[in-house]
Amino acid sequence: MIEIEYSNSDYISFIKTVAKTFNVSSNGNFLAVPPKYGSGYFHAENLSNGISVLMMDRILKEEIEHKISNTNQIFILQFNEFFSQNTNINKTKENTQQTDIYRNMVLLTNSVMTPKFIVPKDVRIRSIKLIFTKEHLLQFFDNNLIDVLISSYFSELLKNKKNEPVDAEYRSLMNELIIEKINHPLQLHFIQNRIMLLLERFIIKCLQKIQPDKTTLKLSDDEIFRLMKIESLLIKDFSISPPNIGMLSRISAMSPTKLKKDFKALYGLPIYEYFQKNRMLHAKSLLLEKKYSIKEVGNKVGYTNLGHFAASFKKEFNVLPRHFSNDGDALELTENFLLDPV
Amino acid sequence: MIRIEYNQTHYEKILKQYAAQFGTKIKDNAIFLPPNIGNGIIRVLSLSNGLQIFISNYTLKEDLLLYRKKSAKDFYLIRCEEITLPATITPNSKSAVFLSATNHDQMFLYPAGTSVKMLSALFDKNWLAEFFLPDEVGDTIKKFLSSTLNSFVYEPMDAEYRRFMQEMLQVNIDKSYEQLIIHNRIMLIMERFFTRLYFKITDAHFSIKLSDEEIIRMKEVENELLKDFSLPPAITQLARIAAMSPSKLQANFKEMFGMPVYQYFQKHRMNRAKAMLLSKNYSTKQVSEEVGFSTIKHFIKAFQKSFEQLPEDILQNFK
Repeated sequence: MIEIEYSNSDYISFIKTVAKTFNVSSNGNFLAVPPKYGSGYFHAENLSNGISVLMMDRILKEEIEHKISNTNQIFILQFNEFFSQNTNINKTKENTQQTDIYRNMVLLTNSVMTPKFIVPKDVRIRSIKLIFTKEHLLQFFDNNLIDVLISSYFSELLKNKKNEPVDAEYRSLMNELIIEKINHPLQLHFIQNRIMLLLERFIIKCLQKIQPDKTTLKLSDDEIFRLMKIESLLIKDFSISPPNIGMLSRISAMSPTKLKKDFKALYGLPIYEYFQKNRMLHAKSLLLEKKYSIKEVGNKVGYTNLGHFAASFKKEFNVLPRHFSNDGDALELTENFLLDPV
Repeated sequence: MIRIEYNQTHYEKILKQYAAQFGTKIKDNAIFLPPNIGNGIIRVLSLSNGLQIFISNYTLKEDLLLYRKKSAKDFYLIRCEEITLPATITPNSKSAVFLSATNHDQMFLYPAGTSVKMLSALFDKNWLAEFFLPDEVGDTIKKFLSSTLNSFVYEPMDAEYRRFMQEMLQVNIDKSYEQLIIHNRIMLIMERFFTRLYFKITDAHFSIKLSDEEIIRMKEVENELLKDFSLPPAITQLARIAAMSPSKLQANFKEMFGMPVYQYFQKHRMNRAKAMLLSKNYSTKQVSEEVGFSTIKHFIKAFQKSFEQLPEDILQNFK
């Protein structure tokens, strides 16, 4: 096991510490994991609004124990997505910190909560972490509201009710950020805006939970865990048809009726609508990469008929796939230039 | 007709002028249109990052004339609008996203029956300077903006912009997190707007590698060139205005405007001719003379070359 000791002030200094541990030089805010220790990368940015962000996608060959010495009153919000080699996610790990990371969860912690945790080995983990302070929230929210929000969130957390899964919306934002090389002319704005959207979604969901008139989710931790397993199966591979409801029902050990009802309660959409939405979001992100033709993207998300692909795409985003591909861009630009204000 | 005239760069003060003209009161930085004037809301917000936001979402029962006079301070605004004019006017909708500066007068006339959905974010020059990093992208955009201060930088309102706008104009956003929603959407609009602007500028035709001084001189040359279409200035005359050699002038001009001097002249000349024809106030012959053709035959030939259409056919299409 490797040990890393650092203070939780910003992630660029964290990257320097990790680089030193790995005995390599970091390129300021980017660190490729050397082959000896695993694969993947860490990318940190200190944003202009003061939020520090860490984006990473890595598999480590050894466990890493993080020991954090805290200096300031800060909050850490993390979004983790974990890809196990075997699909059978077991619950043998007793350490709660460790099980957290095994789940596709959104988790808020504060500076006194997590002085120590272990990142497991041989597991691909994609995550985004952000450090922010109460001042950031004060820019948008009333002081009292923040206090209520934070105290109710942490008391729920202590009762072990951690029901904030990474869903389609979170995932599509994460996918935009967890890319080895973010290629955007206004890169920091691009990152900052998506980080703000992640934060926005998390906070609004928390606020909606504490509002008494809203029906709260009545699922046990174990049920949420099984539903998350279903969700990860659904979105694993879009090129093949998704498992049918009977199969999902067996895997989750729930009746089809209960599964459908609870899935919708947790993820907000019926199972196959949820699948379809993610499939289209995936197609959109592939198109935005500009590496594939529309036909290739259609095939990758399981369409053999391009007309059907275009129609489904349009249904989801109101525009045709062409709109996000290279060809579309070129067309639009020329049209703009021809618009001559006489 | 209600006329509102302002040269403010302070949205709360502008809202006061609206309230006074409409004969209504401001509550929570918002006014509701009185029933005799229309139906809907106008509101202003100040965001924590220094942006001022003005939101209009109403339908008019009276004609409204908005007249923004040029302000002494250098402010910019990003404006997203979807205007639906009464059905009797064609085309009856206008929607766009654009960046404009407050250093010139602007006038908007909305006839009774118009529905206005408009959102603008106002910021000053320093704010914009800080928005960009001191890198190649930031420098390119700043340079471009300083050379086109007087014109709009314009984007069509597409599905993506429309989505951000609709998310901000929703009526049922909870007040407790509205600031955050609006902040995040407006920043996404700016990100998208400036990203696309950057791609346009760096598109082969637009990369300007001139000094600021040269850009100013090129604008002067352009003014002179397009001043009177019947009397195009000679290159030597333009070279004197620009204080450059003719060959340097020609190279700089092409760099900035993407085409040679007389091709640019010809393009604007033919656009002007087209606009005159479309106004239906002039005959083909008058237009031909106005834009400086000695014979109508030459004009028709040049027109056809530019638009692949005969002057009389262009009117057919616009009936």
